[in-house]
Amino acid sequence: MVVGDYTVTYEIDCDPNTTSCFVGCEDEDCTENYYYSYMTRQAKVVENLCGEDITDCEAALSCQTGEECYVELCTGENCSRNFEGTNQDFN
Amino acid sequence: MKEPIKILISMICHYFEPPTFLFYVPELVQSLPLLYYSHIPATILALIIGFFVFSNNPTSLKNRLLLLISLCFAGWTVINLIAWTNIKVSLILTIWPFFAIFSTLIAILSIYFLYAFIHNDNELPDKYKIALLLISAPVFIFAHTNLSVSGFQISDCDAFGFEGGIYNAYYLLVGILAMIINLVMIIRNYPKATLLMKKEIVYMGIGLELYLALFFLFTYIASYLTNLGIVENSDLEFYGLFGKTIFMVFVAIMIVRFKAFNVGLLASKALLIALIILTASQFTYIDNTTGIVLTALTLVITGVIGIALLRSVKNEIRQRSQLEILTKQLEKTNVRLKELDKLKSEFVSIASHQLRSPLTAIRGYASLVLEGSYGKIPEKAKEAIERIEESSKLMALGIEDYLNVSRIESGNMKYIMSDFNLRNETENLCDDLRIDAIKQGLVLIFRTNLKSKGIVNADIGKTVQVIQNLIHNAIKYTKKGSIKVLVRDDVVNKKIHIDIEDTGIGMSEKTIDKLFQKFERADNANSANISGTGLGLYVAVKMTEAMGGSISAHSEGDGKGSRFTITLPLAM
Repeated sequence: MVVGDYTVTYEIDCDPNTTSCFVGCEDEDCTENYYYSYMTRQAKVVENLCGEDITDCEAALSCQTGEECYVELCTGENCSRNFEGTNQDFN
Repeated sequence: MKEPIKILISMICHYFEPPTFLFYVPELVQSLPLLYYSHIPATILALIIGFFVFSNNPTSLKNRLLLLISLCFAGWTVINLIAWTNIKVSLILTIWPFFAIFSTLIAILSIYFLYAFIHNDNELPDKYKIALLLISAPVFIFAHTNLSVSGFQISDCDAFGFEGGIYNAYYLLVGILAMIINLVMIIRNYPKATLLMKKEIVYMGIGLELYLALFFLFTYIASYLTNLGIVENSDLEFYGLFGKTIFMVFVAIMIVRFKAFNVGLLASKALLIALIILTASQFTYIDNTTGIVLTALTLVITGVIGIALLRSVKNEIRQRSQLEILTKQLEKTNVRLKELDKLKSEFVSIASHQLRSPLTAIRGYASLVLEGSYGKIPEKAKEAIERIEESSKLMALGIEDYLNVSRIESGNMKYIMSDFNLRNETENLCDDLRIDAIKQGLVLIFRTNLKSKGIVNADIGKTVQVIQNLIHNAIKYTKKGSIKVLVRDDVVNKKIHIDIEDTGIGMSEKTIDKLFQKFERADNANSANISGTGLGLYVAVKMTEAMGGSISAHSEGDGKGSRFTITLPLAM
């Protein structure tokens, strides 16, 4: 039995200069940061675009036209910058 | 709610390398030692004890249920281990709903199991089974729908953020409900249980409740806190699994100490040794400090408990062998005593019959002489013959008592049961015995207080004999005053009572305690110069009991009169 219509959420690259991004550490001492946001979309769409591995899949980073797609930006503390605007909904 | 669409999706998350043997990831052994430590030993322990108990008596309901609980727990830990160590999204999402299914099964099976355990392996009534099924049905029906889990977080390789809140809360409530029902069952049955069973209920109750509490609360709290992002991951749930280990240790203690689940002593020792070996075997694959410390601690605890239990087992074996020797000796003595008792009864029976025949002749001829069948006799001779008749009459009564005792003890007393009016029979008897009372200068009063007709189902001859015996006694032990006979009934409890109350010599409490035993007479009977064998009351009680009734005695003390009450069931 497999649930087929589920969504997946994954991290995508985020530009800290223009967007409020989540901040992650590259190493244990946190000498270098990386910036990301979360993308949520239908698993079957991602599967069709990227196959089983979304790493290095360009199509995984952007939404298709007319697709149910949602990008979650950082709204709490420890964001790359103060949150401006709303999360993007690409319905 | 959307209908699930069946497609195959096999995306992966890149948290770590894919596992070998379905759940072995060297990286995780180092970074999450508690994962393997809490899952593998707990699963093996649950399976060992479950199968161990089951194999000892596969027909026992509680043994089968314990195995089922162990299998469900093992199922839960295995899918949890797979979920933690695998990176294939489709696999993880397929098994994710089984957390709820197994948790719910564990909860409802724990109720079923505890019921069978407390109620001597009896089946749970059907209405409760249906209720449990109805309560748990939503969990099974909606397990593989979006209500249960609707998405997957590839970055963290889990689905916590997509678990259905209502669904999660529902199966947590099923777990809490199981704990409450089990607690109520324990509290209600504890006072009624035997001393040994009380100890077993305490052990089983603590073990089972701790298990459910740790399992459900830690699992839910871990999931909840992870969902809120308060904790990084849900490894808090590993601690909940120790609940099962605690439960199984309690079960093992019960097996060894109380021989619960009908497991033999040697098998119990084997089980303990297996547990110690199992715990020690973890040293072979755990090579980090946390794992080694945890394993060493468990080994010490298991070892200490094991040694204590083995000592207890040794003591039990010694006591048991002593008990077996004593039991055999007692059995031999009992057989010999029964033979002697039978011989005694036969002797009494033969002797009594041989005594009764000449006595009948003595009484018959004495009576004929008194009636003048052999011509007129002088007054002085008449008095002597009257004494002969009276003494032979007493002797005949004594012999009859001996014969009755002999019949009762050999099981040869026959009772012909029929419905008759006890009130009428008692009144007739009082009319007959009133002459004897008057001769002693006493008043014999008959009274009734009946709401029913006073019909009983008993042996009429023996019932009359019992009442006659008690009225005779009352006359015999009363020097002045009266004897009151009251027939009353208790329609609610379907009983009829005959009170025979006198103003005679009375009895002390000590005398009442032993009054109905063989050859026992009132302490003051001899001083009052009253003859008797000490068998009359014994025979009366035995006869009454055989007819479903009882006799009780009451007295305020020496010189304060007595009251005997015969109780028989009313024929309604």
